[in-house]
Amino acid sequence: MLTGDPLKLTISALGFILMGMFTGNTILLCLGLISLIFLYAAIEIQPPTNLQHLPPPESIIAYVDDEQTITHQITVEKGMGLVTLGQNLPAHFSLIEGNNIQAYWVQKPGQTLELSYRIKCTRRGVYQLNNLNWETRHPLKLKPTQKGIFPEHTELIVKPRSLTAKRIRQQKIFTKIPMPAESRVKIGVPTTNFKELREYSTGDPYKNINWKATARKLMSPNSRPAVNEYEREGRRVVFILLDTNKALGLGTSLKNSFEYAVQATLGLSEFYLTRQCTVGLCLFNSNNQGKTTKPVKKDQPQYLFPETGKIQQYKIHRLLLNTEVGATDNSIHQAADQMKGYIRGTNPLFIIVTRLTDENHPNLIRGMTELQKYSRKSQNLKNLMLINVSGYNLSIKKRGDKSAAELLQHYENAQLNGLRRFGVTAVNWDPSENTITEVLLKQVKQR
Amino acid sequence: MSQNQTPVRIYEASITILGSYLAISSFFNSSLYKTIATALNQLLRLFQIRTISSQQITTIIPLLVTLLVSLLVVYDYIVGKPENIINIYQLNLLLITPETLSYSKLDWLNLIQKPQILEPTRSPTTVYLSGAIILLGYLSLYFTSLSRKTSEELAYRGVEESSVKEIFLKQSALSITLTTSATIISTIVFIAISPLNTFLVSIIGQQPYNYLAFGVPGVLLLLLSLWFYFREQEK
Repeated sequence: MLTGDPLKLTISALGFILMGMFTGNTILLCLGLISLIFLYAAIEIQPPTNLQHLPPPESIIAYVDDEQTITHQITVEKGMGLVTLGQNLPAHFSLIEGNNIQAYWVQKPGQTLELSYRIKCTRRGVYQLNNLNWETRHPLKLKPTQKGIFPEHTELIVKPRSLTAKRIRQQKIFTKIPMPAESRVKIGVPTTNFKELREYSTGDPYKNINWKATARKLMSPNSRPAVNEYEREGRRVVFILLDTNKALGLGTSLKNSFEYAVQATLGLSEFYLTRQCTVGLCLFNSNNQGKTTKPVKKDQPQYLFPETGKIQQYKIHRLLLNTEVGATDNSIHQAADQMKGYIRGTNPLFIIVTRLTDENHPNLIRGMTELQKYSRKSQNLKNLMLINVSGYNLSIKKRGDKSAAELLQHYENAQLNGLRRFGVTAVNWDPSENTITEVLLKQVKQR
Repeated sequence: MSQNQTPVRIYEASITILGSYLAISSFFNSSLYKTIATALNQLLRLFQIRTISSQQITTIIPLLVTLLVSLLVVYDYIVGKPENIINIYQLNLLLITPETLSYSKLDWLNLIQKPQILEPTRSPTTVYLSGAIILLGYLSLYFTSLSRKTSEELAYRGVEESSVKEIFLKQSALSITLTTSATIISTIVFIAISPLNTFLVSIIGQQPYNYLAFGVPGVLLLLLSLWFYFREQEK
């Protein structure tokens, strides 16, 4: 196949030659030869063909805001001319360095071309790199352009960043962040830590009978021997509830309250998992009043039962990777109802990650009242913690917005104070000003 | 104007000015112009209008027109589109036609008994070289304009400027090299035609139908070209 240009050249060459032959004019004949020789020489040049592709690795794992270099190597086995390579970027990726479309001049066979560019992963998720498009052209455009694609199998896994909380070992420092110190599982190997005295029941080992206490109790009628009860070996339970209410979408599509809420959830789960706690995760929607008790089922899993170790950490990562605003319609009631078999009797620490608004405030109060049913009351320890991800500063676009955001934050603080009176450890986090680590460190006080 | 494009732009301007000068001087040196000038002179004298002599015209007018073309090239260089320069070549080819046709063996003007309209005035080599330079300019400028379009397209698609410039330079260099090579080969053929003709005449000149010995290969070459083109089209 040829383009229209060779036809034009042939016609002009033949025109000169025919005219020269007809009139017996050697000048015209030789002028016609110029076009003809040029055409023959130009058509003999082959455009670049037989392109071999060396793709990037099949899986690339990065964290949000990380920069990654994508490199493709193409070897042109034959031909000469222009080669264009281009690859569309997946959504939520920005180009930092280089170019995702590039053109190369191939001078000799076997030349290796490299398409390399740096991208920034701006949002968590699992992405697929688009196919690499190629295009080859004859150096003088005498033959049609060839186009094609190299199928791409590279998967880009962008993980959310988590907080890097460390244990502070100074003895004179204490934190107001609750640890589920009282919560224990019921079954487990008894330790040597004394818990309480209780009545003897059939099957108790004799060595556990507290003879002094039994002797004191002999004065009363129908008394039974008293035995020592020891703490059982077990793990403390933390339950994180992540709000997927649309109010958390405040901000831009890349930097909004929900993205930071995910970051906080991930960080807290890692924090407690590394401290030998069993951590459970549940998605809920604070816009739902919780009147209906039947949970709405969706394709995506909405909760993770309390477990421990790195496998649980991986499961939490996978769940949060694909969680979006509005992922569930279940209220806190429904979430607690789903998980009650796992939390009853364990006296867990509940952490709610949300954004307080006028609409969801009463629902959250009702939900927390429900959760308190599963917690044993203690004067010193609070088993309910709420992290409010304030998003007003994230949505500032123009000058006046700043003042409006400050006003709304005051109102938000008043709401949080109300919750503190209710017995909740309420933490306010403005992601535009502090990291979650900094906010949690503020809870640490000198004795 | 980018630095990388400068050599190509200088080449375009030089070949255009040179080609235009050669075309204009060819026309003013042709017998056709002399016939027209004489007729015009007589007509003006009839109405008693003073004119300069035709000798002065052949000196002044080519220089004036070349100056005009140079100004046009400079104008295109500064504000116009470079590909518009190629339009000048259509005029150049038209201007050189009378002098080229004056070397025809077929004296067709003899039919109207006016053979003096197209008579050779300069050497055939000069005429051929003028024509070859004009054609060289036409072909190379046509392909550099295609390279320029490719560059614009690539830049529009977001290819880096440095790559676009490099591609333009290499693509233009290739087209200029190919056209120059074709012109040189053709010039060698033209120069070799006269001794080759003498040699062939000494061998086959006495043979009957000797014209066929030149005519048949010529026709075959034409047919081969057409076959070649259509074969490629079919692929």
